[in-house]
Amino acid sequence: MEIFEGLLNGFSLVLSANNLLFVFLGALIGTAVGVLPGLGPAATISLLIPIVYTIGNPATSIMFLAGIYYGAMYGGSTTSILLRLPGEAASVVTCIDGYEMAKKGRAGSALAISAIGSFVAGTIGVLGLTFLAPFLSDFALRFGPPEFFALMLMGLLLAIFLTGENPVKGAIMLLVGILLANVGIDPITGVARFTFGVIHLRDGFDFVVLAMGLFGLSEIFLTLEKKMSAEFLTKKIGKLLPTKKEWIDSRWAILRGSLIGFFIGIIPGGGAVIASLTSYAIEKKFSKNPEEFGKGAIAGVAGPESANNGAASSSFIPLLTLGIPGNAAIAIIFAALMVQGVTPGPLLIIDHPDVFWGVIASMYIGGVMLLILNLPLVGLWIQLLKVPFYIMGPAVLLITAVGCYSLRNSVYDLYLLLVFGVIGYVLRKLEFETGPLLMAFILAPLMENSLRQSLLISSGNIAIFLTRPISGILILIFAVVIIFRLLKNFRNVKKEV
Amino acid sequence: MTKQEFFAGIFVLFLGLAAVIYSVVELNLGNLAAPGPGMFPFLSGIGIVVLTLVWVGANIKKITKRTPLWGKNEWVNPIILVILTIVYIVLLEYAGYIISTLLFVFGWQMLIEHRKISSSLLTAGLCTAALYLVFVIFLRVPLPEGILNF
Repeated sequence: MEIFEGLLNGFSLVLSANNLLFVFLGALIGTAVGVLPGLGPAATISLLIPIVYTIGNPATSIMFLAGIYYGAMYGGSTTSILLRLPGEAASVVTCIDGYEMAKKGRAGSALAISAIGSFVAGTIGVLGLTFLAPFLSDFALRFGPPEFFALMLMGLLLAIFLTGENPVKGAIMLLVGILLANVGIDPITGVARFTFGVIHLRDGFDFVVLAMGLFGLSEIFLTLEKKMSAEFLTKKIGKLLPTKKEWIDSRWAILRGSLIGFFIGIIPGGGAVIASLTSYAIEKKFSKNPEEFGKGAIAGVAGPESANNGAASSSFIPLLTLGIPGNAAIAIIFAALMVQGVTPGPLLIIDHPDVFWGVIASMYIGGVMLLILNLPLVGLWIQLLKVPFYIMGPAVLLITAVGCYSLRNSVYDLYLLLVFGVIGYVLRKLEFETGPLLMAFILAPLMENSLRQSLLISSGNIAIFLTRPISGILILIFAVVIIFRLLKNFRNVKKEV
Repeated sequence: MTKQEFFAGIFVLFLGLAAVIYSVVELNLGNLAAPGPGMFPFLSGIGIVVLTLVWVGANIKKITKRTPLWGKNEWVNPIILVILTIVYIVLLEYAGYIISTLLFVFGWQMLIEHRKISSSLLTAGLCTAALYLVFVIFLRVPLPEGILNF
């Protein structure tokens, strides 16, 4: 009953003109980001954080940022299908069969099925979020500092072990992120750490500047190396309504993709990319005609597109209930809430029900808006790709610079932005992932606090993390994942030999 | 592991070592029962050192030849952008938002895009005007006025 009451309050909040406008803007910007290759949701959310400060209301802010995140999943499919150019990492797999369908004049069907699949999966994800999140929040109220420390550590490490190509490099980046977060005044003792007498460093680094540099500016540097040009495959998109056979071929793929996405999205580090890849592999396995995959099988579009949207919705579950961001984009949303005095976690539903239920309700409405934005307006989004880089590039950089400057009206932040941009660029050239660095940077103050509190409670006995049942189980889960990963690596090495 | 990755590993190893030494010498580590401000950076530094040694150690026999990080002339545009951005930041404080933005966009068009002077000037003017309208007029972001005083 409380769930329906909360959801109703959430809807009444979203349906105000101001909030509807921001949900719409989020969905609109998200779709644009998804369509445009290069600039991903994490970079865009970090670029728009200064706008969030001017919004002022945390509930409205998170509705806006969440809209960008799940909107990007919708938009990503458009360029994947029409241009074989994934606008977003989670849409890479859609290129395979989506582009083949477009070559055969079935682009309209592919676009329609991916939009409908996205809508169905998004709705299933939000339904799961609605009913599962309050129970998880309730359960997480039993957590103390050791449980939170174990959870944050497990979340960060799982994110590395599940997604990264090289988990050791990812773990190094994570620790570098923690070190960067330690710069400034220690909040418990008031001691200055790593400031070397520089006054500016006493405040530490702002996560917005770090995120803008690592994701936004480094992306511009990479794009400048090789100018991308999008060749239009077809000017004709074809009929948007799929045929009866296409419906039959894709309905179970949509359902399976939605469920796969939902469950993978809950796991820290799971995310939309793994969800879409898993869904593609499963659809190929389930298909009566697996040889059609790669030649324009509609299930190869329906499954992955549903999965990445399901994951985008459910990745808000660990954020809203446990205070654990599962990926870099969600970590930036987490930090944006923290800056506004709202701590995501089990107490969110009690202390800020407007934020908790507002964002859930906004996802229902945002899903409908995205369906309308993406299907009839598909031609308009394609036009966006025609904006030349000589306008887009400087505009994005100048918007980033103004956003960065406006944080403290200081050019010092602009120099920092440039430094982080160059560092991010070099790290990406060396194939170091910057996501774990940012996630660790954002979570480090909370982790340090939990660790110090846990050690104080246990009088310095580190066994507290293993003897308390919840933290013990969390560490056990992590250990199992590592063992499986190591076994998989060992088998791969054996095969190579 | 490429040679560049190897050198990156050595750099990160020194970073970790520096964090460990700084935490021990400059900060108070405390003890497990009462951790001091140096404990967390100390543990992070130790972690970096151990992981880097594992990573570099496991791959040291497999170091491949130096494969260039940048293809032919690929590094030129990013370097130009770094210089343009430094000039932009310096000018922003003294010459103000309008002049610095105009010069930045003009420089981008000429040096990175190699466009004609006339079209570069036009793009710079339009871009600056559009951004001024959005940030200063609509969003009322206080940006440096500089010598033009607006």
